[in-house]
Amino acid sequence: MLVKDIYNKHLVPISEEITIHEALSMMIKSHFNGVVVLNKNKKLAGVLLIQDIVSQIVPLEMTENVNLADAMYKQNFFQDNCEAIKDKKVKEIMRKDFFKLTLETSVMAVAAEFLHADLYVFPVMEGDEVVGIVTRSELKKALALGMNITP
Amino acid sequence: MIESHLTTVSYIAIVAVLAMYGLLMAEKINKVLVVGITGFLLIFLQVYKMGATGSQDQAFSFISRNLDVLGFIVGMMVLVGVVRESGFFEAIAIGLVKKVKGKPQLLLIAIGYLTLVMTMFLSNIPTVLILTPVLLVLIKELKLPYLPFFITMITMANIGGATTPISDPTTYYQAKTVGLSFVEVVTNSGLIVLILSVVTTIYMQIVFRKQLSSVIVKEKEVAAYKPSSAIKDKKILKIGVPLLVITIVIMLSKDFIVHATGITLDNASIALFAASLAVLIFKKDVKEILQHIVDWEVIFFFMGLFIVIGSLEQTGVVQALAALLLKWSNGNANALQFLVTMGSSVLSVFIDNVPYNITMVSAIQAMAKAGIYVYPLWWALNLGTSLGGAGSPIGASCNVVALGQAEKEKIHIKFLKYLAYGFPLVIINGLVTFGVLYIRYGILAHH
Repeated sequence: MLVKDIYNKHLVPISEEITIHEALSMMIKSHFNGVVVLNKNKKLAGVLLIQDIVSQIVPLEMTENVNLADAMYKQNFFQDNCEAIKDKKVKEIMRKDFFKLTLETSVMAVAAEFLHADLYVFPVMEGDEVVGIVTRSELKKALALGMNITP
Repeated sequence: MIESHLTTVSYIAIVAVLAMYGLLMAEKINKVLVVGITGFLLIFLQVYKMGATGSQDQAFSFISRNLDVLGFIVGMMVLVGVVRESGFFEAIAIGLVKKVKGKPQLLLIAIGYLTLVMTMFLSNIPTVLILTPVLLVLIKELKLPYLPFFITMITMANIGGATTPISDPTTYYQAKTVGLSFVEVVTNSGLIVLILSVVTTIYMQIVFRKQLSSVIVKEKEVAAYKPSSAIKDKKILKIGVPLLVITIVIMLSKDFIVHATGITLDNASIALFAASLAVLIFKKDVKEILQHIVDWEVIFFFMGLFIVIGSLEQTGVVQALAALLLKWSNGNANALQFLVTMGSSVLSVFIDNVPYNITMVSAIQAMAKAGIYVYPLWWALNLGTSLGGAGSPIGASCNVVALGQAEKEKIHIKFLKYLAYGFPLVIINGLVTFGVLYIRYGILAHH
């Protein structure tokens, strides 16, 4: 099974110049938990996932010791941190280094990277053009194909 | 007068040790490689050869005579590494924050003394590994100024190392090599550490008064803190923490045990046994422990240093160094005391205090062999190397560990900025140390 058998041509990309606040609003409207980010020339610049935004909110010490996050609960700390980052530009926090797919990439490679990098939005490339994406929905579709489940 | 005869191999040893200090200060090559390669070169150059004993065998004897020190360090690394997972120490720290209601001035005192007490029993690297994350969260949540808190924690972690023989590997090395008992270390160094902690606390409150009073923390901001939620593993809390306490008590009372029962115990076997028990009881993976909990860099650094610094002893350089110190002090005991206290303090700000301490222990032993009264010098050396380590960001390993963690959170403390606050305190603490030792051993000894 290859990427071309499962990928989604419907793409809702965002610009790297918009703020996190704007990006999140778009993600909520489009029901995507991760989006492809394009630069001024409409070329691929990165991807932005919910985790990338969350990682800006949570201090590193808390991710390394979850108990600390619970033990040192301060009212409004989460909200204050959200407030503090909402005007940052998407390009400051998006992922720039990730696995890029072509239509001929095997689904097994996508699945392996999905587990390995905690990444669930893969841009599908043809040359330097983004032609679609593979998300968890497409991986679900691939599993369904593998198990002969018809929708 | 100390007789010293320097030969060709002595000069080879001097050049090698100076080169080693230079490379360690440059920090371009990993310190284990620096001491390792220096040691092997000295071995190949036959610096250690003694009659029928080959150069390598004699060089390695400098390691084997220190196996207790090495075993103690490894054992404590594992034991503390396992017990740390209980979350007990984080819970205490968070409890203290609540107790002082987050008030910056009081919080600075609380963090300082918690660091000092933890260092006394756990030594300073585990202490800063445990406290730095708590401190970083506090700095972010309560918008506290980071400079006073980091400098206070690092200073207390450094001076705390001189309190008891188990507080710091160099203190243990010195006590073990010289034969200083637990009680002697505590009643000499330990007592002065307490005085220095008060001096440090007052200094911090004065120099950082503006930064501390510029932040207002409301009681309700820390009211929701739940120290008990920091407990990660109840089993380790209930069994591991008591195991650690018992281990420390046995180490501290080993002199008493020998007197009372004739049973000889030493720290390496006590610590390694307790560590093995902890690994067994909590079903830890031995491979995982050996790979991630034991800091082999520290162990190999010590082993390399024992060999390299051993060359100075082997070739008569330490006698020459001792003679030089005596010449500089004009044979005046107080001048010598001043030289060792202030020299150790200032040098430890810039050079690694482990090789320095090992070199000086040999030099002072050489003086003792020549019949000079060196007893107060041991405390001058121990306290000087400990308090001096706090003077700069690179003064001691624990500083590098704490500031490295801060860097990850984009908190950067500039070298000179740190030095501007840290160095004057080293001078003050050095002078206080000299003063107390002078009153105790200088004036009182004359009467």
